[in-house]
Amino acid sequence: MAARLWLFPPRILDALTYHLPPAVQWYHLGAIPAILETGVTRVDSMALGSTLLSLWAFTLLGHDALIELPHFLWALLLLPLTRELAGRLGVSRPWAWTCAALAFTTPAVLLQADTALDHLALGVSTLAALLCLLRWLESGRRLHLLVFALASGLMLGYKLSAPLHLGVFWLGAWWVRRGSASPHKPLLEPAPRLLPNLGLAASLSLVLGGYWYLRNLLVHGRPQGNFHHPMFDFSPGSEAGYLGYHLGLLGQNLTDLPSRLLDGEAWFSPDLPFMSGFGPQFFTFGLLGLVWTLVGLREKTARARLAHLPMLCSLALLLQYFWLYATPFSYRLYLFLPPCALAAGFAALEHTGAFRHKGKRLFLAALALGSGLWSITMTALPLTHQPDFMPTFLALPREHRTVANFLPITPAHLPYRFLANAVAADEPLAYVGGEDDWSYVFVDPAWRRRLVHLEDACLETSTPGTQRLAPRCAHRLAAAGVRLLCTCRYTSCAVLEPGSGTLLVPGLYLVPLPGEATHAP
Amino acid sequence: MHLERSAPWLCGLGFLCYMTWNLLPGSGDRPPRPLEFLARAEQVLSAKPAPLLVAHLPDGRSVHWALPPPSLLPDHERPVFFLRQDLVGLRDLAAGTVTLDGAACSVHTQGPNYLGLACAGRAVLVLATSDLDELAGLLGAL
Repeated sequence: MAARLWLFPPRILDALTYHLPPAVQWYHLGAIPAILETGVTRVDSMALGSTLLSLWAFTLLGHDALIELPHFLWALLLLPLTRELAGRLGVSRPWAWTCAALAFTTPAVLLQADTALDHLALGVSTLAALLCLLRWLESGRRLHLLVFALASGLMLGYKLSAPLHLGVFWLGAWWVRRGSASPHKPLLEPAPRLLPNLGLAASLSLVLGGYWYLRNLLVHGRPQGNFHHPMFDFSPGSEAGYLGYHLGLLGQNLTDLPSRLLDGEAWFSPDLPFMSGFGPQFFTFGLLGLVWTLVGLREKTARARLAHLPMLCSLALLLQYFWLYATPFSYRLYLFLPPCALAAGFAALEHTGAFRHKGKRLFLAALALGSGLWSITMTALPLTHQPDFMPTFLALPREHRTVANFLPITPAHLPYRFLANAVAADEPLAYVGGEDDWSYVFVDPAWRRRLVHLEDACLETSTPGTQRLAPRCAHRLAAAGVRLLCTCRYTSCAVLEPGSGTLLVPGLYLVPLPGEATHAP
Repeated sequence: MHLERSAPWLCGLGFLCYMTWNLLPGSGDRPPRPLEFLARAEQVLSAKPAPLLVAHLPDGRSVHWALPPPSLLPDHERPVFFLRQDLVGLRDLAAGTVTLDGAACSVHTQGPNYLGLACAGRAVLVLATSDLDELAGLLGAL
């Protein structure tokens, strides 16, 4: 995984479109403004905590070679967190580490650990917050509440859906507290002392992760920004329609669940299309954890309920997402589930005495080993549409192993290749783009190239088949001192009318500044 | 309770189900996952790298390029390499020993910002400028 991190550039579409470009813009601006000049307007509503980490990773080297390092570290953090969770559920030390290793080698984790996306950060910070909640519920100490607040604050900074996680946590805490009191110390402080501490904790969380919600409130008038996805639409509208829509989502998600858990419908890739990426370990140990938790719902004491809280919260969160959301890629959001389910599964085995019997112990160790090896092997090769090109790419010096050189060669990708290999990185570029256009492909590894975004309307139809740059946009380019213009949009490139500029490669033009002559085409 | 006796065997059953599903052909054209993996690995391992241009310079340094591939420019038959002036000068390159995929190259044309090479019957062009105006002029002349 570390080798992949070093050898390959960021290559997931979402990272090239909206996770990394804001970091480049912040770097050039020297600030994090509320609104960015970009065609991908969703970045002005997203929680960009992960993008901020990417910026820090870039500033470490002044180069994007380790831009995905934060996610790699999140994946590593999964090891002690899962081991701690399993230990808290009563799993003995060697098996708790086995459980942690299986959580770490979950295909979805291995695949996401060398990306610049935000799902792993959300999943692992959710697990961290859950562990801290457990600790606080056990001890009732203010210190543990504040650590929980810190973990929750981090979690809030990665995705706008994170407040849903907090809601589930508090419901879980309420469920535990409703259990009959144990003979030991009470689970929480008396209410008069609890409320000020909760206020302090909430403030701490908001300081860490609340910026994006506050920005959305101030700029867009609502914490979820300008997202109009049903996940963020809580206005009931027509109640019958609302209920029907969400019941449909729930039904679809539940129907798809078995095939998603079996991972059998597509290639393994970080976007986890039509699969869960939870690997054989989830099917082997995680499902047992689920059964153990459901059986444990009969427990009445608060202490017993505490042991089932992580898996129960994960399950409730999963159902909550199922109610709100269904896409081929939705399982990227559920990375909190495998470690909790695995820990519960190992706890079930520990409590049923399976590890005390030598034969069963060996059998379970073989299953764990088989699951881990399978997951590592099947995710070892990064997905590429041009495997033939891999030896060439890997032979390149690091500064040439850029995303522009990794992408398959199509007519629409020629400008990226040309810019990356033939044009000085400090030459600025204007590109025409909209909501789903990637701009990180234009950026050099040291982020020297300045980009100017032009909206679609900048290209006006001239004659059938050709376009021209609208005068107001040409003035913008001239004012910014930009001479290079890319007219490619994802899979096709616009052709400019003759005399607009010199064609360097299809889709890339050298547009003369005022007073400059054009070159012969 | 039954779970106490059956827990390890439930694990085994889960493992078996997952593996069976992944070892059988998928619903579409998808082959079993291990075959998929092996096919991909075989493609990577058996791939022929792009033309590799290596220059041994008079000062003892070596520089190599494997990019860009031939399809970058309209002339698909002629590999074009872009020389980074901060790494090596055009004059040094012309004075050094250059090979393309191991075949010796000789200089047949030379300009202030380009070098035409002949390497075992293959023509190679090395553009040695990152100045956009020069580049546009050179590309226009190709």
